[in-house]
This record gives sequence, C-alpha cells and structure tokens, in this order.
Amino acid sequence: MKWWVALLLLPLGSVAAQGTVSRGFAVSPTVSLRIWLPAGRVQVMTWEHDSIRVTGTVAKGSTFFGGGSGTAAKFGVEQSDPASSSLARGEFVVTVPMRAQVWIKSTDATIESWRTLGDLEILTVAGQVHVVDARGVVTVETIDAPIRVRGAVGTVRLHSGGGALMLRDVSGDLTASTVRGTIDIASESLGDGRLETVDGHITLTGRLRPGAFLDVQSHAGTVDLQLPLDAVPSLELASRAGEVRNALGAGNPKFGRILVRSFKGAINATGRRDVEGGKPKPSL
Amino acid sequence: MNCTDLDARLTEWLGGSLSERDARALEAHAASCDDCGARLEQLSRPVSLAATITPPPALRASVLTAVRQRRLSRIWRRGLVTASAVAAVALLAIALQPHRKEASDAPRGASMRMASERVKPELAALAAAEQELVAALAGTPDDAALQRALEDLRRQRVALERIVQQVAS
Repeated sequence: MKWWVALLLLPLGSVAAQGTVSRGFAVSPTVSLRIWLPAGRVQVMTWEHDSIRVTGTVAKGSTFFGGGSGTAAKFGVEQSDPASSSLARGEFVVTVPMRAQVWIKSTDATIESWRTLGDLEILTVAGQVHVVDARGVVTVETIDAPIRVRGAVGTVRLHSGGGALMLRDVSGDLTASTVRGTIDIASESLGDGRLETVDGHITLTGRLRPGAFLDVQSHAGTVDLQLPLDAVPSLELASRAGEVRNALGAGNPKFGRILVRSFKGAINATGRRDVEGGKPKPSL
Repeated sequence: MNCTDLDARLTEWLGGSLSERDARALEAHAASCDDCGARLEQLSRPVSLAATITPPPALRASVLTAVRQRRLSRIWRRGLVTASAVAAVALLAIALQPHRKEASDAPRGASMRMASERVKPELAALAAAEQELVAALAGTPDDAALQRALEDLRRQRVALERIVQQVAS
C-alpha cells in the first residue's frame, strides 16, 4: 500500500508542513532552473554534475514544490493555507550544473550565489542579494534590496530603487541604476558601463579597460571618481548646479573615457596610487 | 521508446525522477507522436499547478480506495498502475485548479503590498527630481542634456513600476 501512496504523491513533489527537503533532479548541463522563494534564504552553488540538488528546510505553514528533468527544472515554496497573507518561507542550498541558467523570484529573501557560469537573473522586492564569481550575465532587479557583486566577468545589470549597490572586481560591461541607493564600485578592469542615480552617492575607484566608456548620470547625488594617477581616462565632468572639482585634468582617451553629468550633485575626480598587488588604496 | 513505454514511464517523468537519458528519450518520442505529445503537455501543465496543493481528504481517500480495488486483479495490475496514477494526478489537478487560483491570491497580495509600499519613496524621489527638471526646462526648453536627463528619470520610473508588476505576476 505504501508503494502506491508514494507513487501517487510523487508527481506532486510537495512537502506540506515544516520539515526538511532533500531532492535531486537529473538535468542537462545548461538546464534552466526557476526558483520561487518569497522569504527566507537561498544559496546557489555549482558543481560538475548534470544534476540539481536541493536541500534545506521549509517553514511551518509553507509547502515545497519542485521537479524537472532535461532542460528545465523548478522549485519553490508557497503558503499551505490559501487564506494566509504571510509570505511562504524556506531556507535552501541549491547545487546546479556549472552552466545552468538560474532565475530567482523573491519578495524578501537573502539570495546568494557562488561561481556560476550560466546566466543569473534575480527579481526581489527586498531582502539581500550577494553574487560572487559570476561568469555569465547577471541581472538583478529590486525595489530596495542591497546588492553586492564580487568578481564578475560577464555583463552585469543592476536596477534598484533604494538598495545600495556594491561591486568589486567586475570586469565586464556594467549597468547600475538606482534611485536613492548608493553605487560603490572598485575594479581594476571596468568595461563599458552606465551608472545612474537620482539621490544616491556614486563612488568609483579603479581603472577602465583601454577603450572603455563609462557614462555616469546623477540628479542630486555626489559622484566621486578615484582614478589611478598613471592611467587617467578622458574625463568630461559637468554639473548644472553642483560643484565640480577635477584634480586630474582632461585625462587620456587611451585609458578609456568617463562622462559624468549631474543636475545639482557635486562631482569630484581625484587620483590614487596603487600599492603592491595592484590593490587600490584610499584616494590621495 | 514507443507509446507503451511512455505510458510506463510517465509518472516518473512527471515527478522528475526519470534519468536524464530516459527523460530525453521520452520527450523525443512525445515530440514525434501527436497523441503522446498532447498527453504530456496536458498532464504536465496541471501537475505544475497542483504541485503546491494538499488534496482534499475525501478526494484522496477515494483515489486510494480505487487503487486498492485495482490490486484484486493481478493480471491487470501492471497496466493499471500507470493508468490509475495518471488518472489520479489528472483528477487532482482538474479538481483543484479553481482552489489553486484562489489560493494564490492572498500570498501574492502580500508580495504586491510590500512592493507597493517599498516603492513609494523611490517614486516620490523620482517625481521630485522630474519636477525640478521640468522647471529647469521651462527656462531653457532646448537644453538637450536636461531633456535627456528627464527621459532617463522617466525610464527609471517605468523600470521600477515594471518590477512591481513582475512581483505581482
């Protein structure tokens, strides 16, 4: 009898009530995985196997669902009680093939990823987003979750309302847009990019790739550029009502080009010296 | 893989427990066979919708009773395993679809409310900035930089509103 029950419930793939989850799906190396996690935490890691492993816990009142094979898989949690207005919650560690494409939708969860080669797409209202060592395209859209990206070689697109954006060691093309959040970038090989904010403070420390173009737009937020003295890119700085202080001169286009426009925010361009190991130190 | 094989492996495929090789074979057959393809599409859709739903006790009991009765016949047992399981899944999915629709509204509403609340200060900041640019443009209507800045702000507002809509979808 138990065999029958198990067979009947298997396709539903659900875990009602509080408990642990441990599931595995055989998938293709470039599987598209979709994750729904309204609240809680999800950690995405990769391995060199053509399968997905999901382990974790589901909060009381939430239900786990999931399944997949071949090129598509999905899992997530939802409220067990249809009338409940609270967010379903769970905590998961997900291990996916290196080149998997991962899509995560959340409301208020902590989302972390490490060493992904495939594209990563995250949509969340709040919570936190932390991306480390991403090789594919990274897209994060949020209302006010802080976003941290460390080590990205592919294209990075971040859109935020109030969340602070912090980027370290990003070398691909970059779009970072925020309304009130800060944008803090430190990179030694920044590609083409666009940074925009309304009231947030923008800080850029580092250098551009040769030929790269960085377009910076601020309405009222201060823009601080801390650039290497031995590789000052071409600088065009203009603020309609804010103070512009340029301690670096016009720069040289062979080190790239930075255009900063602001309505009433201040713009500062200062130099910095490099130290051993190529690590930047605070501006001079 | 043929139609009979597909029937035998269908429940495993639906549950995601089929090996990658077998899953590919099954999907390949479904792609080349109209009947199996239609069945696969039909079944996989309600299963995904029913995945988060606890079946009503009465429905579950009736399904299990039906399964017990089927065991009486050893000859038919093997074929009925697949048939009853698939029927049960389809029945559950069809029966519970309206519940699923109602069930999703409340939690989705919570996400929507949070998004709507959190986005307010951002939209207010954008509106204030837009007002400043519009006022500045009134004095210098041909200022291309101001026009572009205004377009950028409006694009940011649209992007934020889109995020709220996506959260609700």
